[in-house]
Amino acid sequence: MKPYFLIALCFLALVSPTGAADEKAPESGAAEKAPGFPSDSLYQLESSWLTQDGKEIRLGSLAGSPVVIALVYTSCKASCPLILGDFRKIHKNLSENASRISFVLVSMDPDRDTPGRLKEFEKGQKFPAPGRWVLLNGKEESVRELAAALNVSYRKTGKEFAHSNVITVLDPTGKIAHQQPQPGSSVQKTIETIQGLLGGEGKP
Amino acid sequence: MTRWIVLGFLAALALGPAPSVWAEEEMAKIPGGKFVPLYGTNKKPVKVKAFWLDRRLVSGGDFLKFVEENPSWRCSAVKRLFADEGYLQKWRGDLEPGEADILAAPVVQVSWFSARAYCRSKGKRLPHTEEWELAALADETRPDASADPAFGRKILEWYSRPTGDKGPGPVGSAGKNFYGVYDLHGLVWEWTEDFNSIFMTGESRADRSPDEKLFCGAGAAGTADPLNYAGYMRYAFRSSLKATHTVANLGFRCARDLP
Amino acid sequence: MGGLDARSFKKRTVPGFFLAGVMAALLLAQVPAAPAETPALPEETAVLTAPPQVPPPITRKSPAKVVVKLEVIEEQKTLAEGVQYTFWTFGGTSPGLFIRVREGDLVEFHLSNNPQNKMPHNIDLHAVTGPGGGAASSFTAPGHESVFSFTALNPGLYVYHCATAPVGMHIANGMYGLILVEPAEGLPKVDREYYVMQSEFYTKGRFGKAGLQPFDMEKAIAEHPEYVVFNGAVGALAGDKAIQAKVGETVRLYVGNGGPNLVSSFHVIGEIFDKVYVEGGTVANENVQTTLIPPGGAAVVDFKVQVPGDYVLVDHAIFRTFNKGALGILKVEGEPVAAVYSGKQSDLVLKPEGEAIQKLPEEKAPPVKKKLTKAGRIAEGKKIFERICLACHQMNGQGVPRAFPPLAKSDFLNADVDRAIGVVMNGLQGKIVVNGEPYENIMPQLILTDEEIADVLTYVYNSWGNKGGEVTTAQVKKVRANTKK
Repeated sequence: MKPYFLIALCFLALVSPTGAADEKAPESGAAEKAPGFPSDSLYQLESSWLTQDGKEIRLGSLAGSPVVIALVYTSCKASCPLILGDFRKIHKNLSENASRISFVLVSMDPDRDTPGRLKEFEKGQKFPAPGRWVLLNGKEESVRELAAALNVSYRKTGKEFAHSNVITVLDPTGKIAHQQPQPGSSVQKTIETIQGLLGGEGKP
Repeated sequence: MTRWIVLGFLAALALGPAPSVWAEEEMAKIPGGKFVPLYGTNKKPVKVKAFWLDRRLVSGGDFLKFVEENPSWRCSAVKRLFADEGYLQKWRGDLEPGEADILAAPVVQVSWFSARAYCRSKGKRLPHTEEWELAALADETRPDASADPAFGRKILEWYSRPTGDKGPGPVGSAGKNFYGVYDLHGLVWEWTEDFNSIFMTGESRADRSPDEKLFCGAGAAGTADPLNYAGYMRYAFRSSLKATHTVANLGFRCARDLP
Repeated sequence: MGGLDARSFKKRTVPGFFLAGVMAALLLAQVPAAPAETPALPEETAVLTAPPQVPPPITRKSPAKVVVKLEVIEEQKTLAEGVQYTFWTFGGTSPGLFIRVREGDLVEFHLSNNPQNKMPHNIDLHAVTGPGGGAASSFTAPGHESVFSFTALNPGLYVYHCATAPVGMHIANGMYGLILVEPAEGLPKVDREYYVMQSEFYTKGRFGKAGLQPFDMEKAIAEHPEYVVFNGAVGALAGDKAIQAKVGETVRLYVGNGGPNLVSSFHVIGEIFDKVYVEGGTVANENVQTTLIPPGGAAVVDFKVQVPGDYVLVDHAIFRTFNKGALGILKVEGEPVAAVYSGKQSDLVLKPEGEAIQKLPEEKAPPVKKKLTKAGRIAEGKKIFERICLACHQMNGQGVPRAFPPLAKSDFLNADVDRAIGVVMNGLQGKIVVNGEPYENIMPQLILTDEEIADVLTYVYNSWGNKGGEVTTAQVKKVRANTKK
């Protein structure tokens, strides 16, 4: 875990001060490079991310199954646990099909939530259905872009973040199928949406 | 000076386009500074590092060149994830903005994604909200005119007027400020990189967290300057946006870090 | 899409905020779900009306899904004769369009924000049960539309308004209106229904100062309006825009107060409200002279009109009526009933006390240097008359018996032009006799330019059966010179 941390730090150190230089190219060609996804699919985003295992992925690699996705940060003490609580509820209610759902947590605190830290966090959380949880670290502006696409607001104030608590369901093609504005009782609607998506895929 | 040139040269090498781009005639250096932002309930000033800011808003003509070079950002090709149906709606065709005044006016009806892509194509970025707010404290003669009620009133009067059918006037027509930056007030609203960092629910009075208190009722007493109505309106406007939105009086300009 | 707008967030440092936030989260979460589950209802699109009109009563005996489409439009409109203001409106009028639904209806609300608008807007309907009254769900950028639903649980007359920051300014610019939720059993039938809403305007220029007037924030904070009006403009309910009724009819006024600051002491001169649904609610008080309507509140008043004539709607904080514009007319036509008539006149005694001074701003009125033709003078004079003289002398110059002498076919006026100029220039105090009737009252000194005096008198002499002719500026100057001696 330590090495991951260091690698990530180096990576960030290289990236952030030069800013725009290395990300100039990817976005402008976005439209042509992702012909397979619908026009309003989240998978049109070309940014690349590191998983808790240090693997580099694009969001498009999540395609093919329903995705539950939210922005959190690991040192968050209050609202993020509520979001995670809803994720667990979703899992529990759909446990038979949990292997067909991806649970994605994107860190809004990429400086501190390195892949190593995310891995550690995952272990500590003892998530059910290991293997279906994807924790992502990305560049700050990739996070900002993803947040914008999900209509999530956030701002860093000291070590804390003020943020909206939206939980989003993506259909297998990356389109937003449902957004739950707050953790809480309305999770039922979220669960129903996923059930619908799974059903549509051909339930046994 | 020499250092600048060398760095500029290096940057140019790294970026391909735009060697002259960020020469002083195109961008103004905004010295860093501190100011108390509207959401600072503790009245703690925020520090903004020095940065470069485009002197002029991106015009219709500038944006036309951009879409010529980047077909994926043409009206007919743009992905719905990146812009809503209003994108460049007033243009006659993908590469035909129409009348000359559309070329000279700031480009509007562009989404946050498209504004960002434009700035990247120039090796730049959108300004952060705090950077924009710092630069916009200046009037013609002072770097910080915020204490002058007449300054606030003038801005407020512009905010109070609808855009009208004719759209905004040409780039540069609303005058330049202390830093030599044109049109920060009086022409169009502007996108910022983190427009979604302060958020009001739109239900300003029910806001409970320190930031949400910003917007009215009890909130007014908690903000840094209860008289700063002009500031409220900018934050309110930004909060009403989604990144795909295209609005008839919302344009942008680009910024850049100091090396 | 709509749910997304209900953004809320919490900063996690203080536990108290956390708890409050969680509770807010739960509240927020529950509200949108409720209306969505309702079984299929018959659907209709609401008829919305501009003031002073009210949509027809609802005859349905069961709930329906009612689609309400309201567009926010920012536009320049007339606040007073010669005075322009940039209004922010719900539906192109200020006050906004009147909405009428029935108790139990599921309302699907579409709020659109015109693409030409500068500002984001939203709507808080006091008839909504749920956080913000719809404000968060309806927060809309220019060129976009938001949709949200609510069930009209409680009958009553409710204010709606914009709640976007800065809220005070959005309201001060004209963003309010009324929504009536009719009780399931309906309201008692009446012959006429009208929509009246009081509000204030805070302009940079003093009352009457011509031209486009910007909003003045300092005056708004100090709660010192230049204008207090009914239905969004001086004279919006006067002259040919007066509301009408016939003797023997029952009139119902849906009266709201948009504020943003002042409480209205709503009164109709010469009438007693038979019934007032106090605060827009269910309880009806009877035999009321003046009813108090707070900003963001409303009242329903019913009365039977029994005597023909002009009834004056006022805010009985009376300087607002005579100096700031809060005056409307209900014109009642029909045969007089002598027995009732004489009992009513004492109300008019109130007017002289408040009448005080009608004046233009101290700053010089905008000099109109063009030489005017007689027709031009009459046109200009009409504007001045409507702005300044109408409140007392009335639209057709008929005056008010025992209080304000008539100008129409007035022997006093027609006998001596120079005297008339002097009266306008210097005011008049003491007893005079006009057309055989004695009047003892105060005509204030009016701060008008010589040109304006010539214009307004030319208009008066060429109206309502007076003797005609033209009053020139030179003539006025001569009178002024003689006065100074």
